[in-house]
Amino acid sequence: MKVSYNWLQDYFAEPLPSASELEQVFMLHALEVDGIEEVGGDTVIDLDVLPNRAHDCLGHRGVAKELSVLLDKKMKKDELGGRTSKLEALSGRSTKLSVEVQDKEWCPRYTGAFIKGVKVGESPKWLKERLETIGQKSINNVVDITNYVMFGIGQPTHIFDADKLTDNNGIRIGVRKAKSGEEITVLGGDKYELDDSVAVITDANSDAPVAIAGIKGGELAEVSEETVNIVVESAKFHPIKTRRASAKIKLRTDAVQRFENEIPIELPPYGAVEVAKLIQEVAGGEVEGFIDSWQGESQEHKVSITIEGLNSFLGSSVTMEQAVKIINRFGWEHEVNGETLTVIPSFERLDVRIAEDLYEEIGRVYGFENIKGEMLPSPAPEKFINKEWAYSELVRKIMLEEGVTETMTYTLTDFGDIKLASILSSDKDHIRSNLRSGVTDALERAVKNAPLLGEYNMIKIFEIGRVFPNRGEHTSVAIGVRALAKKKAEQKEQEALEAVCQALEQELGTKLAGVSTENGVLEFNLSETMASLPTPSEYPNLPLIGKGVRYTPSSAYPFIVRDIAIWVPEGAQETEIIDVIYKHGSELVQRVDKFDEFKKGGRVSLAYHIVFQSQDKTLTDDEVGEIMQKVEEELNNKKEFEVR
Amino acid sequence: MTDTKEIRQVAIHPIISAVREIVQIFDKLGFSVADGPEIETDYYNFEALNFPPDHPARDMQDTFWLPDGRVLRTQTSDVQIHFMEEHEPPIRIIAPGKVYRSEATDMKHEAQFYQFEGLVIDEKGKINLGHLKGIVEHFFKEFFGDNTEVRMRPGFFPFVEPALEFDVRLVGEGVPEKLQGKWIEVMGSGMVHRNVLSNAGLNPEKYQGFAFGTGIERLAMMRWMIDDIRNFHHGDMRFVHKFIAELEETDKIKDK
Repeated sequence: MKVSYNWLQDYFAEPLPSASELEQVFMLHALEVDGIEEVGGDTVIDLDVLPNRAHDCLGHRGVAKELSVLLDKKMKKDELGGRTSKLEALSGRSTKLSVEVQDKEWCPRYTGAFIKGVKVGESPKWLKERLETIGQKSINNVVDITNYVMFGIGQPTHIFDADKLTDNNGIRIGVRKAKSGEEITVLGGDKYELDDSVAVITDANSDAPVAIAGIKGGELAEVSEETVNIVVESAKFHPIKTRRASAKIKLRTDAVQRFENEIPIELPPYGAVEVAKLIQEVAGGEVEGFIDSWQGESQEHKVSITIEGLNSFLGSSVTMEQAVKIINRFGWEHEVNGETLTVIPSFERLDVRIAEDLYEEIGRVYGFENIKGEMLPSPAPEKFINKEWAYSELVRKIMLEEGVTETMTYTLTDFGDIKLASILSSDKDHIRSNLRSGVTDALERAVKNAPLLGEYNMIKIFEIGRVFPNRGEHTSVAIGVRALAKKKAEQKEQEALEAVCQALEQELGTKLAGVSTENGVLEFNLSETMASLPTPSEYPNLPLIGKGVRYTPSSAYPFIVRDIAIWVPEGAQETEIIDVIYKHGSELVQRVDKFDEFKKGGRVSLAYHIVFQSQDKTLTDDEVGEIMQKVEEELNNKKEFEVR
Repeated sequence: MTDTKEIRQVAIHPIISAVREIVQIFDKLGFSVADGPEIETDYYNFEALNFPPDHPARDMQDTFWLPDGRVLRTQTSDVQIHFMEEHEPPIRIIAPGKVYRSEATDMKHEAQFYQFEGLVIDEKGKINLGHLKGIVEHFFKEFFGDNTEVRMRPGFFPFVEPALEFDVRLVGEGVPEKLQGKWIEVMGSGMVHRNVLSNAGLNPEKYQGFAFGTGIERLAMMRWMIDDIRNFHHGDMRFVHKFIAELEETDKIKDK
């Protein structure tokens, strides 16, 4: 919800704190701020209004009320001031207009007004500014007023050109379910085909639909520059029905957002009165009278708490006096009876119904920053070991010992026994039924990057994760190996898998269940394997990545591998060699991996693979050759060092 | 060369390292690990957690639906219900696991990611919001270091009342400029809603407690300065090899 700072200021006599100060107040005590932006001579605060506050804070008045409470500043005006739902103004009942709500569940309350003699035209500057600041286009004075009221008090309203409705001893507005196949052209010209999951507002004398209830007005009774007499609609529509209807016809509007989150039953007359009042101000005309379909009584929702209950819930030490002071800021009726505080929240706060809601209201005004963090009381409940985590960790331990590195691949893939009903893209429309496929892909890619991984003989990776075959979800383990030299590759891979398998069976103390091997990837069912095993008494001790590690993204450019072999005297430090490599290669050196070491004749022979790669270009052989030359020169200059 | 190493460098997937560390931190506070299925019913993923059918709150979590009406769970909070159904309080659990959201992926959004959930339930009066704040502050200081500031502010999740959001801010030396002094939203939490307790078969007049949950990738990204969330799950071994930890050599390894 985009909120105009100047609009909020309209509610207060005193100047408000700066927008950035308001941001802090909103963030810490009420609603999240998504952003602040200067627009014209105004500032727009973008508030993330979630469903609990959508009944009251999808309008400037509700947000101003919130500020009034949080800043402890009185509002100089309040459209919803007072608790009466039968507004005085509604006693001026229209003789020209009537309403017949056929479906009272769909439309629990329909209020309206008949205004004659308006002059439709351009909106005054103040009105245009208010709307344009929050990103709304100005259309004409009459339509702009309806938007102003919606963004003001949260009540969506609509205006019909009365002379386009059938007058048969008066104008009759109807609310009914749409007929299957019934069509309507909405404002803007788009045509919608409806069915009985959608409701329509009708010109009841002709039964023609003039609006999609709660969603959008129709073209039939659209206000134009020639319009003179108007009908104002300010109604409440059923939240779930409106939401479903909007989803069904794929049309979302600001009105839908408010109705689906539910507006208070008391709100519509305030909308009708505000619209009528403002239209007379900016477009002239005269209110002939109002209508209201609702005969009910406004319900009071009493919420009672005790101070002890409040403090033992919040971990606070609020006194009754403080609690009452906070409730007074809301202006809510209340009663203190001993240690019990009973509050009647104002009608627009549909979210305050139970004790916990009131704890929250008091807590956030009191300030969550004033609640002291505490550790949990002792003793803790008896701990237990989670079998799946224990065995997953045990498998990881064995894998690390066997030199197998963990990977993670996508659950959403292009294959599997289960296809999703709602999908992101066609290559992710299934849930995987095995890990093998993902691990095979990861292996192929790892082979291409083997030197960057420090691997020159064999790539060994594994994944542990849930898979979803038809028969049900289970945890699977897949181990994939690829020999990097072609010679006897298959045999080596088979031997490697057998070794890992043997280690697993030995350490787990059981045969692996559900084993399948395909193309160098072995997969087994961990859930089934551990089913017959006891729950371990503790988790294995495995290493953590330190806090100081800083990730650097992998380069998109190709790498070059060079080898160096060197004779050094016994007792020489390897760092002497490695330092020289990094000195000349600097950040182009990705890794240095030793691949050979032997002693002969009082000397040691060492050999290394050096991987060069740039973060921002493709390296040439010449560039790397130059570095290698410098490295070799410097090493050869060291006493008793000899590059081979 | 007489280089007798006691330890060996191994590459650890950062999500696993983070989960392992989370389990260890909470283990010291008396929390046990619980888990649940990744394919979940509407009831456990939404309804029991006080998301009524067709409620706009469901829009907060874009959902992958299966043809049979089940979902890929959108949050690890489903574990709360499963666990409370089967265990009497006092309860102190964390539940790490994979969750799914049907949203377009970019550097900060991924269709699958890890969360962990925490749940503490005890008799009324024993557990309050101050404990939630204390536990969460403790956790973030352990995970990110002592130079971590934590703030608690109002939020909204249907399964808690009140709902609280936690932001953290890393300050002082060694904090990358990108994060220095910035409040970052990292955790949703709150006191467990009475409807959730009732749905799971606990009497809300007798018990109360709190729950919290956070995305593990986001924590890992902050901690190790990982720029793109898509790195975690796309199986590129170059990524995992950036995260080196030290494995204590056992005799068995030395033999090899």
